[in-house]
Amino acid sequence: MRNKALAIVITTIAAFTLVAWNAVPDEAISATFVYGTPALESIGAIAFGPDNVLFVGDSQGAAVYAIDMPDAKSGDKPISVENLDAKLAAMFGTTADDITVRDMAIHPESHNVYLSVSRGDSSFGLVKVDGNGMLSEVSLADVHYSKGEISNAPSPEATYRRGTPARQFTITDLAFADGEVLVAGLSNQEFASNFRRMPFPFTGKMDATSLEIYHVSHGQYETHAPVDTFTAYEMNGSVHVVASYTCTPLVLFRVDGLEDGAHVMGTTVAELGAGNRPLDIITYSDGRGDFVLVANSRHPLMKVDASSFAGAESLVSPTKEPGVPFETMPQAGIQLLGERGDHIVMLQNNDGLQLISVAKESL
Amino acid sequence: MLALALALAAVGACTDPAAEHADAPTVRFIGAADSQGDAANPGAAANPGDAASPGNASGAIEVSGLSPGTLATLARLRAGALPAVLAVYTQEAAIDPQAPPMLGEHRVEDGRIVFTPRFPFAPGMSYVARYTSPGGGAKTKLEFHIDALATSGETRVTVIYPSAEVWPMNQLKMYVHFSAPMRAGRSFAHLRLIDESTGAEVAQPFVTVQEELWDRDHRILTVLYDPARIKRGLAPNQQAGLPLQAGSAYRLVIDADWRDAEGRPLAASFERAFRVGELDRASPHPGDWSIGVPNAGTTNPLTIDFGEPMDHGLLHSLIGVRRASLPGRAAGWDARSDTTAADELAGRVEVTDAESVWHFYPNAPWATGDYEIVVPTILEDLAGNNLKSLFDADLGSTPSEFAATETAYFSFSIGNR
Repeated sequence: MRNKALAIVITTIAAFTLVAWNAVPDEAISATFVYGTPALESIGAIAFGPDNVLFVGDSQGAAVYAIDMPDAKSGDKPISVENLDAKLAAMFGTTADDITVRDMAIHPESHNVYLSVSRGDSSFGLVKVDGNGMLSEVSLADVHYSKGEISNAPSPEATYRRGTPARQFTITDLAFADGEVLVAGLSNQEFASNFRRMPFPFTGKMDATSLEIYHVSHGQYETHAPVDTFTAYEMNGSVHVVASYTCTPLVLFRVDGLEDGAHVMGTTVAELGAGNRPLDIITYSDGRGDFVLVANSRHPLMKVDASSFAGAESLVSPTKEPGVPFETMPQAGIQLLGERGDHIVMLQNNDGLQLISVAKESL
Repeated sequence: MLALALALAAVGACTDPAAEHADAPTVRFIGAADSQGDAANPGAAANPGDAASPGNASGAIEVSGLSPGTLATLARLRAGALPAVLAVYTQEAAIDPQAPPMLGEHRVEDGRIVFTPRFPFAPGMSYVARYTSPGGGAKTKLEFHIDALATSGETRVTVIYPSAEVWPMNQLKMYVHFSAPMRAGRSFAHLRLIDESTGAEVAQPFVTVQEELWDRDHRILTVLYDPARIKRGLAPNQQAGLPLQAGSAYRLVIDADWRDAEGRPLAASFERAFRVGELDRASPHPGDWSIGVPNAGTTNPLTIDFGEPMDHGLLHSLIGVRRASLPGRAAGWDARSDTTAADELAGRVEVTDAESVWHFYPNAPWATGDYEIVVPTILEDLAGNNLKSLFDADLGSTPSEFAATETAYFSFSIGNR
């Protein structure tokens, strides 16, 4: 495949490292946890954090839950599950077309695959796939957890409108980076992009800060840009985010050290054409370096060599600039991605859902 | 147990070892109430193909007619071994050797096993419950079907905002209101935009967010016209153009197959026609608005006439009215507030004239004094332009005076009559 071009600018040039789990001691986290059954109203985006904590985005309940999720290793054989949707449908008591797999996360210690799954009637559950490809439900009852509420107020001033039921913030993606849970989402009322940052452990106060994300097209037109899916990585001690916007472009922006309400410009990395939406983005490392993988709704799976981010020009005229190359991968219909040891686990929609493992060295 | 029974027989006890383990298992579908400790009804044969009424979709499966020996064995089994004794499958899974059984909880009590599924049985689905005695003895099964719901429900689309007949070409969003909570997840399959000039459906005018944009009660769906096609300079805008074209007429069609929260189709399909006018590239500006101040002692409304249709959702949720705690401020708009207490008035909001006039009716009659209207600057017009900037702001043009402001305040007084 012809290498397409991406162009990006980074203000600092440095070694690229994946996000190091913040060195928060167990005691600091568990001190803020309670034991019981979190009142989850939905589960969408999920991501692991430090010390076996799973973050679960609950859009309906306007909260992020941190749930202690100890798990035993079940081997590092590459995981592959055929007819995943049929099996989930059998477990959930419905038909395959009624099942939605909303997100996937890989447990950092056990390397088991976790899936957030729902039925058409909004019933939902967390399902684990172990190293032998066996499926089981992960109970979310009687666990250690803490809750971080998502503020829905239209502005810091507008505390009086906080409780209006018509307003809802929908979480589109989340990730843990450098001591904070980063939450991307979209209001059902104003077209804004408030990228929330919630210090973790959750303190119980609503002390999340938010960044307004913008993007510029043609160097001339600036708009709000709701973030749809993203991943976070650390570069030169600073947390950067590779994100897709609701309106297509793939961008890069910095999040740490920025004040509440800061106006953040995403630098366009790629434009992937009308009708395409990035579905998932991950970073991973192998012997050859650090890479970003982007799964798309229409465009094939993309792989970017992250070391080429440094020093390149920003993409000003997206339809014709050359720049940093990316490769197109042959796996079709990829919706979700996860790094698992020497492999990348992929949720593939190919006339039915399946989980496949692709060796990093073959990408 | 068998050893004990034999020993008793050897000393002349009346216990019949065969009867200890003679199962006459009956598999039965029971309603949610029955699963809570009612005695089983032994002797009734399992009837394949029993239909359960939709009201019992939250029911369970019970196996009764079990011998004391079997019950004792079951009581000693660990939970993980119980699915091998009683498993319920969807009809499709029942014939697929790779497919797992339904998730659920087993309880052994009151002379029976009860399996309660993790998620309710679904209307319109068929299931198979299979019982196998521990140790591989008696087997029996029950095939059952949950009736589909009535073919039409009562939920309807009530209105789509904006209610104006003419929308700007860069219309950003619309709100679809339903009379009752709806099911989420497949919404865009039921919503089509027809271009009246061709009669054809407009291809992909809306953006589908991974999770749909509903209000908390799932009665209002926010649909965004594809911002990538609206925003100037983006590739989709250059390749495909805006979803709506000035001068054209359109029709939104919602089909009745869209399911409400109970899984029933809508009572009827819904159509909404509108025409499209020019692009709106003007930010709403408070200086253009007319404020209607009511008299003291009345509950007449305070009104703002915006002179153009505004976003319906934001008009209802953003704007507040409060007492000014530092009186004497000159009437008019400012980016600063002089109040030190956020003393909001209780009342209700109404919106009229195609969302171009906002009315606030206080719960208590207006007292004389100084007030503030509080307008967060994220209030949008139909094209997503807010007080701070245009939806896609031209960086070369002069910024709005509210560009760096969170809230605009209008001070006014209600005097004595």
